[in-house]
This record gives sequence, structure tokens and C-alpha cells, in this order.
Amino acid sequence: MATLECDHETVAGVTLVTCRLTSDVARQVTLEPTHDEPIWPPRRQSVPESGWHDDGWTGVVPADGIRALGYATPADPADPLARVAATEPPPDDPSISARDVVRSLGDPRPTRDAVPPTDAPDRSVADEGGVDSDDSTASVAVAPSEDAEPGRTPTRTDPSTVASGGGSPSSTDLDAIETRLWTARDLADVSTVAEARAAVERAGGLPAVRDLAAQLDEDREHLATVEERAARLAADADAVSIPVASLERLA
Amino acid sequence: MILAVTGGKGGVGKSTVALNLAAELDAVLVDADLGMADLPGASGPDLHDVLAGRATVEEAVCVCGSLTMLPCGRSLAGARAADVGDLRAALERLARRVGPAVVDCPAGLRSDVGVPLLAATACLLVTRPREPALTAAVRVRELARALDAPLAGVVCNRTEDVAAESIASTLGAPVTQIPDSATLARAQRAGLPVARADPDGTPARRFARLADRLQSLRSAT
Repeated sequence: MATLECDHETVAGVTLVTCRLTSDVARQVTLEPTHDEPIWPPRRQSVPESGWHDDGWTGVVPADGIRALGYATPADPADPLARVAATEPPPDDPSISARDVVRSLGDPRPTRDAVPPTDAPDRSVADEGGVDSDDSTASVAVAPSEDAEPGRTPTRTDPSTVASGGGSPSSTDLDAIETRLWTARDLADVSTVAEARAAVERAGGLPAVRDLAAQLDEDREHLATVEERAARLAADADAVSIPVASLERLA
Repeated sequence: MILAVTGGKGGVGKSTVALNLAAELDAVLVDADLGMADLPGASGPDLHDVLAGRATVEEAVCVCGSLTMLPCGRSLAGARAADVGDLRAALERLARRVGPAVVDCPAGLRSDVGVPLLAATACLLVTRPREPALTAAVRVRELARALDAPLAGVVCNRTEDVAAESIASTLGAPVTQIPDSATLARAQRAGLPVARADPDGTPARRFARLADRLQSLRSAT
């Protein structure tokens, strides 16, 4: 049989309750407060200590042992403040819970102070890449297009929305074109209806395929312009030589 | 099946391995890096919302190109609101109602790694043949053992000729080596599996072989 001894003291308007549970044999005991006020159990890593829940505490009291517990409450002091609500044989296989893991390894959440007041928790601009630690992708230009899929904001890695730019291509632009070509080859290499259907699905549906085809037309023109300019620059580079030695003598 | 892709150290290629294996296994790719998500995202509810009780996993799963994903938000407020204590239930519901899941875990040894390991059917360690990465991998393996997450394999990333047997015997699982590849890196930046870019290349073939070996886990719950 489990027995309970309770004691309490009041500090700054808060009642601190201490409990001693004893039992002659090992038992799983559920402890409940006798009042309707909330209970504030001890916490580790912001998580209530093992066994505490909204209605009290449930845990195993060892045979001929003592289980000491304590909690705080805004309830007025009374006697007793807690009672044994249930006793049953201890479970055979006490399993580890996710809360146990958080309690042991720590809560990874940023502290309250780290969250800017304007950074609202619902769908936010920050969610769309405003806070992004990945430097390798942060530079990818993403421009929402007017014909983007309704209800879906383009993502930073959506191949159909990565702009190729109007000027000289950066390696990012060429990467974007190469990505579109991978998808195009995937669509071109189908030989059965099932393969075609799967390839269209992978590409994001028929509207995305049409967009991709139009984008590739622009890419071809863009690459032709770039090729022409690169050839002209290469010829100019071949035709010019800086007279470094003469300039050094003159200087 | 819930496969946790972990490794302890940042920058070893966990996200790359997770993305490619999810594609090969036709599984849902879960970006579980609650503080520094780096897999493709999408608008709509995400894992932050699921762990804050604002959406169900079914609502947050989306199709992103050729991948089915459970993306993660990128805001500090979202990370603050997400309760990692609910991650196990979310992953188990995902596996039960949507399908097999490959979970890209964050670096470190905190509960955002521990809880996915607790939920996992098996785990995969990603490492590099350098002392800090191998040390971190050994620590994660110990954590996985404590949480009863069987080690299904080790991926030694961005390398070709290391003493794989030595790493396999140290970590206690077969090693798959993924060579350094510019195509793989570009495909990852584009949020695509390397098999889409270069299906006959060594990285794609190695991921396919590893996925074949892991197929037996798919039937596990």
C-alpha cells in the first residue's frame, strides 16, 4: 500500500508543496492535487520532470523506498494539498518518451529573446527565405512570375522560376539553365505512356512543362547571344596585347 | 519506415544523402532541421506549423518537383513555436498515413536529433573521413544505440578512396562512399536528386545501390 505525507509553505504568495510517497512493494502511483488551481511542476530544459502531467504525477514508488516530490501552486494552503488517486502494479517495460529525450538532451528552440518582435509565427516573409543560413542557395535569384501556379509562391529552388537574367550570365544563371535542361531531357527521354506521365508529374504538371518549353526558347536565344558576345570578346582579346615592358620603361 | 539520416557534424552532406535516398526510395523527405532548414521549401504549412499544432502532417506534405516533402520553415519565430516533443508523434503519423519517410536531421546531439532517432525504424550515419566528423558520428551512433535506433549503414561523403573497412568496423555498419561531384552539388542546389542530372554517374549509381539495400526497411513500420 502507498502512503503519502504532504507538507507546504507559502513564499511570496505561492504555495510550495512537498510530498513523500512510500510503499511496501513497488507500485505505480498517481498523485493528484485536491484543489482546482494549476500545478507548477519542476522542469528541466523547459520540460516538466518525468512523470508530471496536467493532472498531477504518475510514477513508480520502489519497494520499501521513498519517492520525494515537490511542486508549486497558486492554491491557498490547505491540508492535505494532494492525494493518492490510484495505485497499480508497475509497468513491465518503462519506455522512453519524446519528452524524456527533450529533458535529457535539451530543447533546441531559440530563446524568446532571439526572436525579433516583428517575426510573426504564422506564414511570414521570413519563411520564404528571409532568414536563411545556407549561403550556397541564398544567392539564387527567384522572381515570382505572373503565371506561377495559383496559391503557390515560387520557392528558391523551383527550376521553373529561376530567372536567367538579361545580361551576362553568372554561373548561377548557367546552373539554372542546366537544371531546366535536366528536366527537359527527362521529358524527352520517355518512350511509353507511363514514363511520359511520370516525367510530367516530376516536372510539376503540364502547365509547368509548357512554361519550361517557353523558358527553354528564351534560354536558347540567351545562350546564342552570350555565345556571340563571348566569341567577339575572345577575338578582341586575341587582337590586343598590352605593351607592359614599354609602359614600364615610360613610367 | 522512418529512416533518420544523421551524422552529428554539420556540412558532411546529410541533406544531400537524405534528398537522394528519399527520391530512390520514393519516400517523403522530411526537413527536420528546425533551426536551419536547407532543403527545398514551399509556401503553405510546414513542419514548424505541425509542431506548433497549427497543421497536420498531411496538410504540410507537398510535392516539390519530383520529391514529396515535409518542408521546414525558416523563421526564428516558427522555430521558437515548434515543440520538438511532438516530433515523434508527427513522424509516426506521417509514416502511418502518408508513407515511408526519410528524415534529414540537424547537426549536433540535442533533442532535435534524439527525437527522430527515437521515432526511427533505422538510422543512417553520414560522415567524412576526417577526425571531427568521425568523432561526431561515433557519438551519434552511441545516442542511436541508447534510443534503440538500429544503424542501417554509413555514408562516407565526398570521398572515393578511404579505408572503408576501418570506418565500417568502427561504426559497425557497411560503408557507402559517395565521390565528390560538381553535378551532385549543382543538383542539390537545385533541389533535385542527382539521378535526374546524371543517372549513369557514380553518385547516382551508389545512391541507387544503397537504396536497394535499404528497401527491406520499407515494409517495417
